[in-house]
Amino acid sequence: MPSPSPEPNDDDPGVPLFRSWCGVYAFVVACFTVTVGLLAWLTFSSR
Amino acid sequence: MNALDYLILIGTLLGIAAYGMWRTRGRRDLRGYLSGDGTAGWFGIGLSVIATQASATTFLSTPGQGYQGGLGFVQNYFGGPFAMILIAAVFLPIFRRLKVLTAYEYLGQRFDRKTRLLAAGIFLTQRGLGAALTIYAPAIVLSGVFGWPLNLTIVCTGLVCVAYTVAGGSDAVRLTQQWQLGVIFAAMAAAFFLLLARLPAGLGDTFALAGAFNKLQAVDLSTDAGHVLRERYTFWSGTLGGFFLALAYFGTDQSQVQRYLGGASLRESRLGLIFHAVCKIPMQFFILLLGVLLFVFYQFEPAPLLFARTSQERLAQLAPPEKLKKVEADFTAAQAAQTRELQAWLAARKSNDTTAAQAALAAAQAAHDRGEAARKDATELLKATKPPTTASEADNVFITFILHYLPHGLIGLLVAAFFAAALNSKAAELSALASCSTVDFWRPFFASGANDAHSVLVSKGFTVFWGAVAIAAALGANLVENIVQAANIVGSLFYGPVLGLFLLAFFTKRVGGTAAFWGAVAAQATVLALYWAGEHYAAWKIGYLWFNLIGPMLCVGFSLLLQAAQGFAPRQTEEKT
Repeated sequence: MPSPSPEPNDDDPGVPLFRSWCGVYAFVVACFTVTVGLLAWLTFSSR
Repeated sequence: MNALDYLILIGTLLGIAAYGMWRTRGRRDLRGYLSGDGTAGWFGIGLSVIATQASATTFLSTPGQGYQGGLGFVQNYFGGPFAMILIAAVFLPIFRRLKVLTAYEYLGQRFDRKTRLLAAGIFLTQRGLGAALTIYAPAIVLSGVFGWPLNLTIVCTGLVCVAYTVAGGSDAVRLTQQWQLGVIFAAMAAAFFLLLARLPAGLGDTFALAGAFNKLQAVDLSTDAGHVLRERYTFWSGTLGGFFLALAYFGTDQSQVQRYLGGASLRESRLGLIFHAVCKIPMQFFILLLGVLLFVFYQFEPAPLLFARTSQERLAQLAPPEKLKKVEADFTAAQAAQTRELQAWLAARKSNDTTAAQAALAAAQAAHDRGEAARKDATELLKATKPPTTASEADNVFITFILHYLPHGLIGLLVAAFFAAALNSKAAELSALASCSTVDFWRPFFASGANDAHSVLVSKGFTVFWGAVAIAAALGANLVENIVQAANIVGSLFYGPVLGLFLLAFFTKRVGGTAAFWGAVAAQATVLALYWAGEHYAAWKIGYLWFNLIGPMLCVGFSLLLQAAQGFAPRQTEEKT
């Protein structure tokens, strides 16, 4: 039974523009923050 | 719909299905049939994941949600990006390294056969129910609007879908999904811009009006505990509950796992998930915004008393004429007053007369409330005629707009888009149900040494079987909830314990199969009991998104307790599959 681990397989060369997958995930969180920020602005400005 | 619309509708659907069957002809090996040939790029995977989730209900019913309740439903998707990160970082590498055909195969390797069968059984049960819903949902709306026989619509949609899923397997599903999604996005964008062009008010006035009617409340940041627990959509339930819902759906539901397991590499599969994480919330926002714009549009334009054509006809035939006449008169008078006041509101805004604008808006809102009261009376009259199943009024708003205000040709394309969306998610579900039945149940018990050609044949047989089950269940279905909500409620009740099993498998090392199995059984029973209590006693009412958090927590908690009672001995080595 192989032990589970979050280490990527060797068929993962990474993504250009980002140093590591952590950078990609940080990009996702940044997109989420901007999107929800815009939605919150829409909510409060329409009251 | 005229001949051109029917030509576009039938041509689009048959063309896409034929393309999928032709591109995947002659596939004989089981892995290729169930997971694809391992050449899918990130864009194809991302589209396939979106298409599998976005059934016809997304495009038919979500604008109705926007029309009725505003943008608040978008919060349901707030947890998604975080779930995608966890799946891409932890779940996906393990699934790929172990080369599993189904997610539940992993549970068999980590725990034991009974735990694998429990998770696979829960998947088959809830996805079997869900599969009926994905055929039933668009059929009831489209048959209601066009007057097509409901049962015939269900059977035809189901048969087309079964045909190309059987013929091509997982790759046919993925290949057709890309084209279907192209048709859907093109048609939805066209509808969005045509609606914008037809709005009688400018964009600033439109948003001001939508805001005045509370349709732009996208984020509910209230921290009142009672409110947060009972309200269906808040920032907290959407982010926390939505996170666990998305984690369970994308990380453990075979219909989604199958989509990204077919990636050419780990990188392609991961990027496909990231693509979804970035695009999903904006996509849902625009679909809901379409519904909000429809709401504004129908404040100026004459709207029908009831949107579904079959409901209108039934009311005209069976409701007491005197009562109906009064309701219609009330509604027409309210609408006329509302339109008049809103024109006055627009003029006052143009001349910067704030006092007059406020007075006109208040009068328009009062007229709107009178119109809605008349609609409620009409619904009561309809109920008194004991109608057969109908979709909720909100589900019919978008399709009614399409039929009355969009040009021929585009109507056919949009109806094709709705059917394409139904086929998209239906085909992915059937393919996953067949994979799970073959890999998790049939092969271990009846044919452990069967060759691939034989297993592919069995898998095709299961596709037909589950297609028949879904069609039969859809023929007997009866819905009162808004369709897209019903689908989410069913998912929320069953996903939690299965997700709990996967979390135990990934993040604990000393919990064995027996503790995990009984922990999951106890958690599932508790979740169903809590939902039942909430339906019967108001004090126990919990927003359904919270079950996605409660379910895995209970499963993990019960399993840890059981294992602690047994003692945290070395990992169990009983019967592995």
